[in-house]
Amino acid sequence: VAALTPRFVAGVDVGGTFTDSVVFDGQTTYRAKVPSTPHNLSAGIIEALELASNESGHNLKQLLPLVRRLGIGTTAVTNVLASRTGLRVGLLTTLGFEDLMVRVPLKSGRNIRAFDEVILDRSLVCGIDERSDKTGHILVPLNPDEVVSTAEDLIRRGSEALVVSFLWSCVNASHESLALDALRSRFPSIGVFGGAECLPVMREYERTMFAVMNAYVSQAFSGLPELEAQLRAKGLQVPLFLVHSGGGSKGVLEAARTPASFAYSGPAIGVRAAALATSAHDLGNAITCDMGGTTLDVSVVSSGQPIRRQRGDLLGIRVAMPSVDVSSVGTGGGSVAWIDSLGILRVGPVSAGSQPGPACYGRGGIEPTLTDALLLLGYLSADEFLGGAMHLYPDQAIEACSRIAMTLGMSTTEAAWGIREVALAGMSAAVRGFLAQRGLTAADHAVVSYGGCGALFSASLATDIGSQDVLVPEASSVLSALGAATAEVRHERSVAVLIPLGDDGDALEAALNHVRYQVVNDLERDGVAPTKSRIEMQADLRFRGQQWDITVELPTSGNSTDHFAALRATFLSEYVRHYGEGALFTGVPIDVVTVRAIGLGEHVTDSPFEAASYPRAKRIASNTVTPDGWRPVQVDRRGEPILVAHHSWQTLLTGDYVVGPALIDGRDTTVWVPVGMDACVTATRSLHITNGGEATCSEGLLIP
Amino acid sequence: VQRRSPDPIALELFRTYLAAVAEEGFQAIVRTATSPVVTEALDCSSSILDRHGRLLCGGGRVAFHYWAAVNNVASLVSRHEGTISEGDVFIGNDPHADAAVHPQDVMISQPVFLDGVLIGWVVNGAHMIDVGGMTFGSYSNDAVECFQEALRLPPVKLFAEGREQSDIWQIIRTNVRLPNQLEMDLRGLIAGCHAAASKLIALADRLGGPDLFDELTEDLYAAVGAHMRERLLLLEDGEYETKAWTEWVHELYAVPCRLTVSEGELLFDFEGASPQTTHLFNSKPWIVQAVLGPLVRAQLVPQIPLSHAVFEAVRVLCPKKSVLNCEPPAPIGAAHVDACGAATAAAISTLNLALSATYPPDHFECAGAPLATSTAMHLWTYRDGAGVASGCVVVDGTRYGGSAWSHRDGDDFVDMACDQDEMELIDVEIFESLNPLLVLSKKRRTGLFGAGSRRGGAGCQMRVRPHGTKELIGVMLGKRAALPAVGIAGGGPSSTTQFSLFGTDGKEQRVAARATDVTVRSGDHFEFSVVGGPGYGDPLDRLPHEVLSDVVAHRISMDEAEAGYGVVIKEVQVDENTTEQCRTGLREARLRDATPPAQVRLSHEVPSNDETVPLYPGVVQRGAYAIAEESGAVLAEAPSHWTDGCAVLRSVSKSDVGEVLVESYLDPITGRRLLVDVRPSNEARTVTSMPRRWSQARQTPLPG
Repeated sequence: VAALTPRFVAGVDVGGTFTDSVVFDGQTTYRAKVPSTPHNLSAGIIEALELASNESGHNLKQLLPLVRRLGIGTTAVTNVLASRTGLRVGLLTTLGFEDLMVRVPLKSGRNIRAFDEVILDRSLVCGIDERSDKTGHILVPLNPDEVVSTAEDLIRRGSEALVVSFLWSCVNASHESLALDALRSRFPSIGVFGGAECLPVMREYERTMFAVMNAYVSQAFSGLPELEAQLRAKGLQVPLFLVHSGGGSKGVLEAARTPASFAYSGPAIGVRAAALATSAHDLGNAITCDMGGTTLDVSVVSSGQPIRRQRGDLLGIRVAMPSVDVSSVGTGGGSVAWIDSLGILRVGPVSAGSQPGPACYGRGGIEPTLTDALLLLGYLSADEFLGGAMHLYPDQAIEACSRIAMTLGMSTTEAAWGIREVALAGMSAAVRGFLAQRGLTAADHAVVSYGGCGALFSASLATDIGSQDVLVPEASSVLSALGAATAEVRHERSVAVLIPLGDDGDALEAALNHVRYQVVNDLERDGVAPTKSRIEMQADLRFRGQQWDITVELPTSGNSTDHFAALRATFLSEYVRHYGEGALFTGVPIDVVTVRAIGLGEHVTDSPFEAASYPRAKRIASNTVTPDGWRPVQVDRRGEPILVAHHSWQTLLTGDYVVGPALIDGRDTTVWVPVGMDACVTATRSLHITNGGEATCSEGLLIP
Repeated sequence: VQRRSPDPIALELFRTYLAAVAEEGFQAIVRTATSPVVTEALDCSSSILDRHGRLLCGGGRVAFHYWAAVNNVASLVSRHEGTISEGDVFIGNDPHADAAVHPQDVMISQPVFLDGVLIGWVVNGAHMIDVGGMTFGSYSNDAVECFQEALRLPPVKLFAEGREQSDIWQIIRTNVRLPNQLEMDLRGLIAGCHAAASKLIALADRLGGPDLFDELTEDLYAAVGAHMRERLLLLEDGEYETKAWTEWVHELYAVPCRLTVSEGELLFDFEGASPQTTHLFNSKPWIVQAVLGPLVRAQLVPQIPLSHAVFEAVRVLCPKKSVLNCEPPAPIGAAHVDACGAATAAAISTLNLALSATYPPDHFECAGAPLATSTAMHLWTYRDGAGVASGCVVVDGTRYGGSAWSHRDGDDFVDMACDQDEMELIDVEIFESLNPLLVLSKKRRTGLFGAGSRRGGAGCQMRVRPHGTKELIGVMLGKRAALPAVGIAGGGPSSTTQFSLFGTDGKEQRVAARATDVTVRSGDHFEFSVVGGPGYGDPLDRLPHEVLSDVVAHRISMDEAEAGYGVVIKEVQVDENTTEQCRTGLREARLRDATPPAQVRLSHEVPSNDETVPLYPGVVQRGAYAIAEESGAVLAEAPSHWTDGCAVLRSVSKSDVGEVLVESYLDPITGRRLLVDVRPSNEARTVTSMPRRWSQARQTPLPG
């Protein structure tokens, strides 16, 4: 039998509650949804794949040999962190600095237990007599015997995984390597992680914490080799990929090296998928909003790529970790409305979550939530919520909101209107803050909304912050699974250097070659052929004395003189772009702090977004569709509700164009098109909402 | 005219948007300034004021800047009345001109106009590394007049109607040591003003113009004021006194405080404060208020943001020409640190006395031990490898141990400027990368300080040596080197600040807390130890397993666990039987060594028909009698003070400021520690708690 050309792309997104899968053959997307199996990683994934392949008319054994790409996004690591069920970690660090590694988490509110009682026990942190200085020069030599005997003691006292992290190992890792070698040969069955080995960046605390987190969650992927074996047994020919917090993919072996870098797999996939949608619609930059039950996750897509950061936090602990820059802010659908001590209406941060959930879920929740307000105002329909998959109970929503209305001395409708307005103001303030922190403005960004009831707000939010376009992709669960399927292989390797710009060209070239060599190896281990990969080089620079740096791209070829010249030019122009011409220092040396190589696998083309050619014209001035019906919606604070046309997203066709005010009910979400705006159904069946004509959005005014 | 009732929805929207405006101002500063004090330690703020100069909202980490902003604008208006125009930007830093809390915290203020009408002010402040004067860093131990400390600027125009006043810029640049850095940081503050002002204008415009903006401002002000009064009415009326001191090598400066709580009003009276001096810590009443306001808020109204009415409720009275109310030419470089710190610590102690006497106690979340605000801050100057003179401030010297609270232990590494928020420790690698110093160790200070059923947190202890330079020349700015901070409810006192020099022979040589020209040569070691927080409650009541945790975490030794807490540990386990015996033995020993009261009566021997209400933790009032809760011993009859009936343990030690007396007040029957007072031996007891219902309690004759 002649080998068939693999033509399928498959993706699985393992969420906390559901596992979504998609199979795409270049023409059609087949999808499936099954309950997640938190205790058995493989079972849920295989079931979801089986179902999706059945949809495509195959069984799994027929389909797998035809798969050319299989990507998985999983919350396995997130779950270990959330449930605090990781391993007991023993840490060996430079003598005299042990206490620094057990600090109270940031923004702990000072009322939660200290970190040392949660994850890293101070009694399992031991000092080793050794020291290097900032140039990597060894001041106190290491005695490997001391390392081994200290580790023996740590294991005797209950350590289940070990971390070695010394001062300045980011510059000279020789002590750490010696220690790691000694420990690995002495304790072959115990996971041993090194600070510089996991991520050799400056700042000992975040570097060490990243290694500690890796050790802590190292069991989360214990089922992976088994899953890969099962899939191979069923005919899978290509390697299995997992999506990491940086929004790229890594193979199973690489995943085991730094499992903590998968902690934000879920949000990263979401942004990655939103980036696909943004590019497909030629929107360039976007603010991505994913509204869940408790929070709104905000990120930014810049020129088609998710923006990234080099540090993040896990359980409130600051760690060095390259990831997509996602921030969770205040409000979600389950956020509870309350009245503060001044008698002022507030929404969140307390959330009713999914259990009991909003009052209108009818699961015993009695607190008024944002979802209850939206139902009461008419934005949500009791019968068509989640495409009719779930029935809502308006009476419960009214009861919950009426209590708060009574205290506020206003009608229940007015209180519900207030809840929506306050939530919207909170989101808008949070998004503004997110942009301000990154030196961005909303005007040149679209708003992309996916998840929960976010699309009921996105158009109003866009108006509020000054953004012109809103994009709502059709089905967010499918979008995430697609994101998992198509995330390109992505490896990052960096090294701290501290070279004054223009000073030591050999050292710069050596460092660049070193990280380039590492990512080439990483790609090779993931089975990516050199012809199908590319390498990008970056450096972090700053004026001497500054603490925060700017990342700039480097040409991939050239000698050190070229590199220095390119770095200086790009750095200065980036600096001006960020801080303005007046902010430039002259006569202050510029330091290269870190160099980084990014190895990228071949881009997975022909995802549904790429396949469909999308007409670039913003609006197709035709096909203004007749609504499915009319729903009363309380748009204004007082007065009668207005009758708003509602449509079923499923029945809309590409090119259809819906004039606001309108509601569009989809499988995952409901979309609000405000007065004066209109929504166009794009080739990918997404909704592109823009400000239509003269009418301005009158909604959202503060004063009645 | 009857006021409209405020709109609870509009107020929340207003407050949310205001907070976003202040946040954008703050972010713009952080992103554009260059000195690490601003960009790393975030020692900056953005305040939004209404057109009357009242605080609407503050952004950033340094809460005492908010009230400074209010005073700055009041001073500015009085100086420039009639000539304030759109496009003006003012600079000011002189505390004597009410422009800033100390000369280094430069404030930039901008009036904000909409349609030609003044609607409010934006005032941004940040700590500048150097603003001139006789010493690098502008903290001078040798200055005896404000003229020697820094360039002094009352609020003057940097921009007039949008035109840059280059002559002012030139004066400033000429008078400071790092003119480029200062100019960059100032331009950062101006950028923050522009960012916040433009958003404030947009907000007011959206609200419908200056009049409606004003209306909401008034509503918010009224709502907060009403709430403050409501909360303060819950506090027990009476007079509460404590006394604190600030040190200067061998000198002591008294800062007594009497808090009067009367029908919803607070008055902190510092009558008896020492006369103003020739040292840099002279202060001003509004500066005390600025530092005290956020602390009072945290205890009384933690849920509402800081605004004008909160500060207004914290009234202070400081005698003229005292260290708390100085006049020129008094030096004032640390106006918010030493004497002001002593004043706020004393004030918070008195507030704790009032909270301890308040019934029912659950109106307020908790009482904490008094603040042990302290610092071992110091500055180094050196020549770097290239022979260029430079210097640094060791910010880690400001990280002291937090006081214990009634419900939890104190935090480690707290910072005065940011008591309400977390700040991060500066990484050793960052510190070493910027300075020619090698850190030999950096840890939590260990020992029995702050022992209690809730113990104090630990301060920072760090040892360094020159590395890459021949010598370091230092200025010490140590606070609390002789007199520890007093605990509450029988908790032990804090430790004291220490600076030490170790020669090549390893011999320790103490360095005075205010030493200048401290020279650390190659081969010498220098160490500083910051104060740890005082405790809450009798240490013999601390749960044994918590004491075990402290031992395991290397906070105290096993011997200290036994001597200080009566907990006997064997093989990493609490020996329960021996512990019980040990604790009983320690209580008996206390009573044996103590001076007993004149007579010991039990509560059933006195009339007891009255309700039992709290007087102090562990002490209750029943009618005219104060009774030890544990034993029922009658401690006093109103209006005598409850301490009169205690057994009293005394110990005296020598210090740089003379003899220090530690006095423990014990339950005369059980030996339980109720209060530990620490003071110069020639002073009277510092703590006096006189709730009105106690001082006016009806005296009933004893039966028989």
